[in-house]
Amino acid sequence: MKLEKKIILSIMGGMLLGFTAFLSINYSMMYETTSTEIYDKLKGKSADLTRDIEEWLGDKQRTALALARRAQNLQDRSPANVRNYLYLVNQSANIDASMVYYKGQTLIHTEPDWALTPQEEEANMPYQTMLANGFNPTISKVFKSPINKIDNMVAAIAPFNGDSVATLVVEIKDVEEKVSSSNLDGGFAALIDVDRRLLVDPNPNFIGKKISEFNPELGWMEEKIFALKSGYIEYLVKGKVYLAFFDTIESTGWKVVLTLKKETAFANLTVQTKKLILISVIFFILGAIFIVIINILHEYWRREIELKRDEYEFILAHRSRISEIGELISGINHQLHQPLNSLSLLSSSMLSKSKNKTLTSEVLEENLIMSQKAIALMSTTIGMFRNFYRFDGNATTFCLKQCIDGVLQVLYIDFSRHNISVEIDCDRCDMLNITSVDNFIQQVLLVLLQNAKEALLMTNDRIDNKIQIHVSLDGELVNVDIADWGEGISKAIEEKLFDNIKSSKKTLGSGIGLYFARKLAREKLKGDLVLVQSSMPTIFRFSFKNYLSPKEQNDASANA
Amino acid sequence: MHLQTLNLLNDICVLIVEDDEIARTTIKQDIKPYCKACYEAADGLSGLQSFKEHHIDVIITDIHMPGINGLDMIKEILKLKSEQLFIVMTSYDNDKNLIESMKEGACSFLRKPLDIEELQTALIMSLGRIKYTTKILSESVYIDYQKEIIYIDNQPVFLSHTSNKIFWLLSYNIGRLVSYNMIEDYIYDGESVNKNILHNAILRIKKQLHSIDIENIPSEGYILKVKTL
Repeated sequence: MKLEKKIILSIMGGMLLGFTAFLSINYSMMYETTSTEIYDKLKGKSADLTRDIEEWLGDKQRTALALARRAQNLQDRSPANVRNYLYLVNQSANIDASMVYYKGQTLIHTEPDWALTPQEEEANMPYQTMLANGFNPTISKVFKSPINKIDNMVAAIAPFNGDSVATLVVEIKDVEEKVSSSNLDGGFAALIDVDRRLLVDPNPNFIGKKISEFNPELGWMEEKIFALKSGYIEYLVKGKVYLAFFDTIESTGWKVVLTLKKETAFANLTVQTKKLILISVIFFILGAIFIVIINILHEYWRREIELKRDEYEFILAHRSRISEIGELISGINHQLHQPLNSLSLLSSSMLSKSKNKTLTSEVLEENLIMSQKAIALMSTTIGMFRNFYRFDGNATTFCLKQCIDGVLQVLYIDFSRHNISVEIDCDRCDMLNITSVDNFIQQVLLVLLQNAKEALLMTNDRIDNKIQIHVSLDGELVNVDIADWGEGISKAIEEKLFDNIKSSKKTLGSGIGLYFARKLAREKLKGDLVLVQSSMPTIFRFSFKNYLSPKEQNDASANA
Repeated sequence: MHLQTLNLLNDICVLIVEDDEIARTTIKQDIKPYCKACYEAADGLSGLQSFKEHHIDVIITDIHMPGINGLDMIKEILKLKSEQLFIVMTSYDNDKNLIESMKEGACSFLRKPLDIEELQTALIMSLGRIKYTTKILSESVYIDYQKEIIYIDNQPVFLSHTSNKIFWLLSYNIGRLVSYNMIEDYIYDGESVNKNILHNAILRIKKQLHSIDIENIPSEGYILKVKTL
């Protein structure tokens, strides 16, 4: 029962473990795939965006260069003429404002009002930027529109003739729109200028601010974005994990950051995992139910078998008892025949003498006394047999020697017929009083003696036709050793000697007997029955308690 | 049974082998007064002993006895004296079958419980079966089995105790080999005896009864042969 539960538990545990392992492997593989997908998606998007912005900027730069070339080649450098070209450029290239600065002259701007002196112009941020860039074509930093102070603008500056420059001023609204409208499921794109200020972000409050300003905790992220050209970042805001990929626009040093909420990104994975877990749980429950059903069936079959075995045992017990009775009846036959014979002889003798008138009163008396003896003997015999078949299991106090002698008397006929003698070796047997169930002891002894007899009969060249009974005391146990010099017990038989299935012998009494004898010894007499030695001589030890307490007596009489 | 009839038993010796004391005593009570001799034994072993010590015409025996049982005792005795008569008392039919298969004719059976007159009748009936009253061994020697007396020229001769026993053992087995073992069993209680001693004993018998023919089979035993006249 315990073992079965253990087995079931271990099977269940194994299944659970298997499922867990399966699920975790599956999940980790799916996670891996999803992660790669997300990475690729973010990287691809940011690359696209970066390229678009680079292109847009390049376009502006090229326009600036074209303007610079035109301004350089212009013969008539009067502001009016130059301005004409500027208008042309503005219109064709959709530029907000453009200007040309000839070294040392007043700036020529599309807005005539914007006539800066050379000093003013050269102090201007775009000019300074180009100057820092070594007079190469440059895109300036972002600045606010001088007109409405809201729109972000950049200047594309192209130098010519050494210190002269052509400048285009463009709103970067196009770029901003491109970025904010960039199509990203559950995510968004941000644009950061070279001063680390956010140009584009879904949250309008953040625009124009540094990441480290509105969220100091993400300072590291800002650092990382500006330390590397591109990279992958995972960050945490308000308990939510975000995945981000950033890239750099080379010409301006702007950063494009594409961000996805991890939850959203992995939503698909979560759904799939949930499905998988659900299926697994269903499978597991089905498996568990299956095991439980199997177990119930097994239990049921086991009970059936047990029931059958009990039935079989009952039949065996019955047969064993019947055969035992058979042995006893042949015993009783002789036991009663002997005194009956004596009586018959005595009465016929007296009759005969009486007829011949030779019956003296002495002879008569003597014969009558002998008759009484014979009658007493018959009475004892009947009493003994009745006692033998008393199955109430009540413990009494009796003399062990008499108990053993009783069994020997029962077997006397059988043993004398086969010339088998029994020796009893017992120091104080006559004095040894025992409180136990005498007829149970006798029944066990009967089985053992019968077995010893059979062993002797099966041996062809017998050494000694005798059975030895040795009685010894071991604490509160009485040991009765029964030894015979028969053929012995082979190893193979020894193993199943006390099994109930063994019925190989032709006489039923012996084979099955040991099984029940042991049962009787263990359960009713609080002792045991063991094989001490298998051959030369074969010794069985039958032990039983010399005093059965009232409680044990109850046990003994129960189911007797 | 009439006393006169019982007096027919006057010349015979009876051995009663029975373990039940009451039965034995009763049988003895009703037989001893009419017999020449009546011995008793409580088991097979002492029965065998008694047989070796005395001349016995009829053995009344039980079968189921402690020690050597009746059956084995009969077997042993028949080895020594094949003509021995037995009256077997038994409670079982299968015992009869056992003994009949062993030796035909020499046993009669009585079924327990016994009537004393049945037993007496059986004894008287067995008188007729004591066949060999006399036997002529040679031109001058004849023997009387029943009285165990040897005659030379019609004069009784007496041998020494051992010689006498050996001679009668040979006589019970006329024409058959009496092995050394049998002699040892019967005369020396089974103890091993130097062959020379036996040989000398035989020589003494031959010397006394010079005309008889005792043949020695080397390393086996002796055979007493009847001389064809």
